[in-house]
Amino acid sequence: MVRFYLLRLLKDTIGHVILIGLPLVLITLMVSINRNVPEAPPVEVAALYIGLIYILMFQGFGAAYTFEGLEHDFFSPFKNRLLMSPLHPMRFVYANLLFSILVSYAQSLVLLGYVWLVFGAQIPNLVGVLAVLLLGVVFAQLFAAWLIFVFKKAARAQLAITLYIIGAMILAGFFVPLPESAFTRWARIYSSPLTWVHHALYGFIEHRPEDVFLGVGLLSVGIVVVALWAARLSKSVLS
Amino acid sequence: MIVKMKDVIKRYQGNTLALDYFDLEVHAGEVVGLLGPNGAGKTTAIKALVGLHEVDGGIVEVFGQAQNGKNRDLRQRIGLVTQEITVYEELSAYENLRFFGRLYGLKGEALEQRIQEVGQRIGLADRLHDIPKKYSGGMKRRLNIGCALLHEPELIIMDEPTVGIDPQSRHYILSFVKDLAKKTNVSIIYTSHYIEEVEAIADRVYIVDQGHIIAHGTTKSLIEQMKGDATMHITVKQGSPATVTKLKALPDVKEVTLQDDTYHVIAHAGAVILDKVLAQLSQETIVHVASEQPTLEDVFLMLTGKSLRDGEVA
Repeated sequence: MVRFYLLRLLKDTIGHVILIGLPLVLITLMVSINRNVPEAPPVEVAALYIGLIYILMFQGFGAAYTFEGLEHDFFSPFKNRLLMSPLHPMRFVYANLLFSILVSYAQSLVLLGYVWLVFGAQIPNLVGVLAVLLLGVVFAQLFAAWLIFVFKKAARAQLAITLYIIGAMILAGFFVPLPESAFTRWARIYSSPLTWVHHALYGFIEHRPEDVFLGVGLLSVGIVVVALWAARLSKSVLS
Repeated sequence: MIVKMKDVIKRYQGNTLALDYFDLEVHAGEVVGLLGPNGAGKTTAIKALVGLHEVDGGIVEVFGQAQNGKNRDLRQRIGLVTQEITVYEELSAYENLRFFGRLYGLKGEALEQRIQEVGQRIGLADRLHDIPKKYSGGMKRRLNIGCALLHEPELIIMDEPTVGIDPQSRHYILSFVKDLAKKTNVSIIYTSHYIEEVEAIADRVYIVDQGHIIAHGTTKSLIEQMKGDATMHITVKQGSPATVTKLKALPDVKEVTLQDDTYHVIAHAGAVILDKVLAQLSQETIVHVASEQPTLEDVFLMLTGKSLRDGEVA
């Protein structure tokens, strides 16, 4: 099962192009634009900031691994074949989730490695940063499982997650900086799981333990809630 | 007994009766054909049999054990060939077979050996490392069958395994099923709406319509029920439903259907009705008149009043 699910994901060439190739191009482009902005931060600082935003964004799009895998296995005639096997059907859900998490996390590491190698970005508290990125991927993939169990079609789940990512990025002020106000200050931290991850990442990078606790805490609660909810929804799908 | 379904009732949402006191028995080493049009209840019966559907009443036993969908040991002994092609198109046939073998607990040398054996048996031994995307429809169907054979099940259920493939591949699959039944002691349930397929491979046939078994027996015994009945096929330039009604009203006529401008008339034994039939057709241009021995299709026609072609009920 390990070999099969891994092969299945690794053979998705288009997925790799979109989830690795496209953010690499975007990061490079945004860093070079940033270079020409007056009073811009040093390139290695800007590259890390831009790189992390794109990593979070594409972790969200990487959720497609889970909902496409689960759609194939449980929202198509394939379901009968798997349910007929002696294995408990939840094992196929776990396999989909586990390998989607691994592949998406590996993609995040490639992007992080790129900003480090190419732009010389310094990443303080690397282990903490890597751990938070992993939590981000786990949340995104569990959220994807929840989405497919709710919407039952990958195309609808894709639309939902795209709207979520765009909305979350706008609210967080990642696309365009928002004017300072009580609301935007709140939104930068609390408005979505994407900002929770970002808050925890910069907590580690800028040595602010309280931000780490807040971000990781919110994210952990989010993971538990989404996991339990998805598990509950899966019962009707797998029966 | 391998399979026993007795008085099985299955209702879908909205109270649609999918299985209506459905009965089925399969003995060791037997090929049983389940024949009926689309929507007759064949797939529902199979899902109940393999434990994918809970039933609302009746008895479902497989290998002498009650089938409630929770007994995973039973699944180890059953191979299901799904109606749809359910293989991973992006991964090679080898990887597909390997995956399904692993699901049933095969590993190591035994698994490799079974992959090669099944590859040979389904005629894909030299194409095992190609991805199914590059296969013809018939090759994909064969791989679909192979995936259900890896674990050497004692009961194989084939749900319309030849839908949508070319005649050559269809012939290959039928020969394969016959060969499998002959060389092993496996029991096979073969559902189809192609009468000629069931006629060719099944030891016994169950005819199902509207969720109910309307007849069962050997092909020969079912055809014998028709013995003595006169069957005529009269092709005209343009057939008319009104003529069907007139022909049905003739004495001794049991059943009349119209298909592609051909009237199929079944009459009682010994009845001399050709002149009466032709008299009714005096206003129509007759192109061809033929009579033939009864077939399983005629049995189906007699029992249901419907004809069976490519799953459509005329």
